[in-house]
Amino acid sequence: MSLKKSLVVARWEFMEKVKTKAFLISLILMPVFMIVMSVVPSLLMNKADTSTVNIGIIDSSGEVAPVLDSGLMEKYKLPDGRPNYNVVVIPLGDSARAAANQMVLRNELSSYLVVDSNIQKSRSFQFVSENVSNFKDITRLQSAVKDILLSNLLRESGVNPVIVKEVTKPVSLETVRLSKEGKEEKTAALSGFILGYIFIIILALFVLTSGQLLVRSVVEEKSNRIVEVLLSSTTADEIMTGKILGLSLLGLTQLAVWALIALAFAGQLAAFITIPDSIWWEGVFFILGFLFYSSIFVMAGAPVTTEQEAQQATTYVSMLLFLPIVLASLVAQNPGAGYLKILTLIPLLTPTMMAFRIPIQTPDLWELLAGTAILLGSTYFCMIAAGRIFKIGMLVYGKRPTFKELMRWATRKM
Amino acid sequence: MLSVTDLRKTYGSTKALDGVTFEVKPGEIFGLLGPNGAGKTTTIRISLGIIDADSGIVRFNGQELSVGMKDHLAYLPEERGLYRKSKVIDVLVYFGGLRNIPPQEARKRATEWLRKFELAGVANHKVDELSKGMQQKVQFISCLLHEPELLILDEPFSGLDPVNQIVMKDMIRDMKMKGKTIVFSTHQMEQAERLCDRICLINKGRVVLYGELGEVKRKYGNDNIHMEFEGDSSRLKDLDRIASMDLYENYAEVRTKPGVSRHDFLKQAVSLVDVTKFSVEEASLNTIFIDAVKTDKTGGENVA
Repeated sequence: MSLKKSLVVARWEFMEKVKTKAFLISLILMPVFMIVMSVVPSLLMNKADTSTVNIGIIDSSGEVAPVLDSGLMEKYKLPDGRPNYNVVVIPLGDSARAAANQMVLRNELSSYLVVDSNIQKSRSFQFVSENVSNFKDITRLQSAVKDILLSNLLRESGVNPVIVKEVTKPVSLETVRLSKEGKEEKTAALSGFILGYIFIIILALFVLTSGQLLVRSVVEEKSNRIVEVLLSSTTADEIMTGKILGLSLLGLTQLAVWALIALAFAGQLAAFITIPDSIWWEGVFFILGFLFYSSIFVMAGAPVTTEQEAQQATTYVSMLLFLPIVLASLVAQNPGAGYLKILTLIPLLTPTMMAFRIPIQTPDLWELLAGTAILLGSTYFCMIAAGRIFKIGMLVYGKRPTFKELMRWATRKM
Repeated sequence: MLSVTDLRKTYGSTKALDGVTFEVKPGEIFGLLGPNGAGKTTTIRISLGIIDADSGIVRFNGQELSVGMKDHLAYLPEERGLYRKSKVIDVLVYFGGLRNIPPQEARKRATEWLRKFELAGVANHKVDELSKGMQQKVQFISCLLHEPELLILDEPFSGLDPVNQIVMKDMIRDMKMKGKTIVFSTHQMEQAERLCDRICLINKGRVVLYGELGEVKRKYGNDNIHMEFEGDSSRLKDLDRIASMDLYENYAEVRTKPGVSRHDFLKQAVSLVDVTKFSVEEASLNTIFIDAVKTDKTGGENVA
C-alpha cells in the first residue's frame, strides 16, 4: 500500500468537504445550538422575579397563614431587597374559594393555597393557579409549608424554637475524588458524570456529521462511476485509508473550532466540571472511537447506491453510540462492575463506555490497553473489509446485497 | 504492450468472460468490439486491475499487471466519472495526484491541456456547469496528465453528438501520432472501421474474430453486394438465395449463399425492385459484425 496516494485522497476529501455548506453549518451552528439549548433554559429558570408576587391563602387550620409570610420573606428576596412574595390571607367562608378564583383571574393574585384544618395530619394542601407549571413557586411554597409543619411539630413536643431553626438549616457537602495514584482532588459533584456525557455527545456529533459526509462521498463516487477512475489509478485500500484520514482531519478541525468556542465559556463550565488527570486516556479513546466509527460508516456506505439506503444503514450504527447513555446511572453507581467491564470490551461500545468510565473512576491499566488494542484491531479490520466491499460492491446496482453476501465479499481473497 | 490470456470471469451463474485472449501491439489503435453485454467492459476493467478475473493473466510490457504499473495506463470509463460539484482544475489536479504527479506540475499540465482543448476559460468552473462535450474533453484530459503509454477507452463515442464524435476521433488519432497505444471498445462499427489497426470481436464472453482489420475483411471475402434501389424494400425479403442481408429503405448489403452467382441474384432482384446502383465490394465491418454475432450460436448466456 502506498501511503502517498492515500495522502492525496485524504487531502482531496478534506479540501472538498471543508468547503461544503453542510460542514460550515455543523461547524458554527452546532455549538451555537448546544449553547442555546444548555444555557438559555437554565438562565430562564433561575431568572429572578422583578416584582413582588401575590400569593393568596385560605387557611382552615389557622396554623400556616400567620407564619407563611415571614417564612417566605426570610428566604426569598427580590434583587432590590423587597420581599419576593406577599401573602394575602383570604377570609374564610363559603364564598372564599370563589372570591380567590376571581382574584386570580383579575391578576390580583398569581396563585393561592388551600390548607385544610387537619393539615398537621394529612400533610397535604392545594395550589391553585392559572399556571401550574411554575416549578420555582411550587417548590418554594412546598418547602415553606413543610418547614412550618416541622417547626409546629417540634414546638408541640416542647423543643426550643432556636433549636428548631438550627435543625431545619441545610447541610453542604464537598466531593473529593481519590485518583488511582492516591491523589485527592476536590471535584464538583457529578463532574465525571457530566464530563462523560459531554464526551459521548461530542463524539456522536462528530461521527454523525463526518460519517454522513463520508458515506455521501462514497455513494457519489459510486453513482458517478468516479470509482472506476479511482480504482484504475490506485487500490481500494488506499482510497479507503485516504478517505478515513481526510475525514478525521476534518473532525479535528471541527474539534479545534469547538474547543475555541468552549474556551470562551470556560468560566461557566468550570462550575460544573473538574478535569481529571486521566483526561489523556479520554482523548485516546475519543480519537480511536472516531476512527473506528468512521470505518464502520464507510463499510456501511460501500455496498449501497443511494443516499437513502446509506441513511438506513448508518442509523443503526449511530444508535449504538447512544447505548451507554442508557447505562449511565449504572456506570455512575459502580463503574468497576464485572458486566460493565465485559461490555467495555465489545468494540462497538468500547469508545463510549470508556468515555463514561474514565472520568468517573479510571479503569485499570490493563483494561485501557486492552480497549486500545481492540479498537485498533477492529478499525484495521473494518478498513480492509470496507475496501473489499467497495471494490466488489462497485459493480452491484439496484439490488442491495444480503448480509451473507457482504460477509463473503469482506472475507474473500482479492 | 498489453496482452491478456484466457481471461475468465463469472458473475453468479452467468459467464461474463469465457477464455478471452488477445494482444495489443505498441503504437496501434486496437478495437474491442462486440454487442451490448458481450464482455467488453469486463475485459477492460480486468485489464486495468479495477476488478479481478477468476482466472487468466494480464501482462503489460511482458510483466504481469501490478499496482505500480497503473501509472503507465489511462482509463476513460463509459459513464463519465467526474466530481460534479468541484472545480475543473481541482478535479484534474486530484486525478493527476492519484497518478503520482505533484500538485504544481499537475496544475501546469492541466492548464496546458485545457488551453489546447479551448477550455482555458472554464478551469475554475464547476464540472456540472459544463456541457456534455466539454465534460468529455475534461475527462479525456484527466487521462493524459500523466503521459500514459497505453490509453484504454470504454465506448468513447457513446452519447456524443456528431460534432463531438469528430472531436473524440481527432483526439484518438492525435494520441496515436504521439506514439501512444490506444484500446477502445465500441459497438459502433463505423468508428472502428475508420480508426482501428486491429480488432478483436467478442460475443458472449468469447473471441469471435481477431486480427488486423484488412485481414479480417479479406478473410470474410470481397463478394459483398451493395445495392441501391427504388420501390418497396419489403419485397426484397422474398429473395431466397441470400446468406445474409442488411436492408434499409433504398439500400441493401447482401451476401449470397455459396454457389449462387451475382448474376442470378441481380436477375431476381430486378424483378422485385428498380435497381439503380449495383456494386460488389468488401464487406463493411458492420456486416461482418452482424454476421459473426448471428452465426455465433454457441457459448453461454449474454450478460446484461
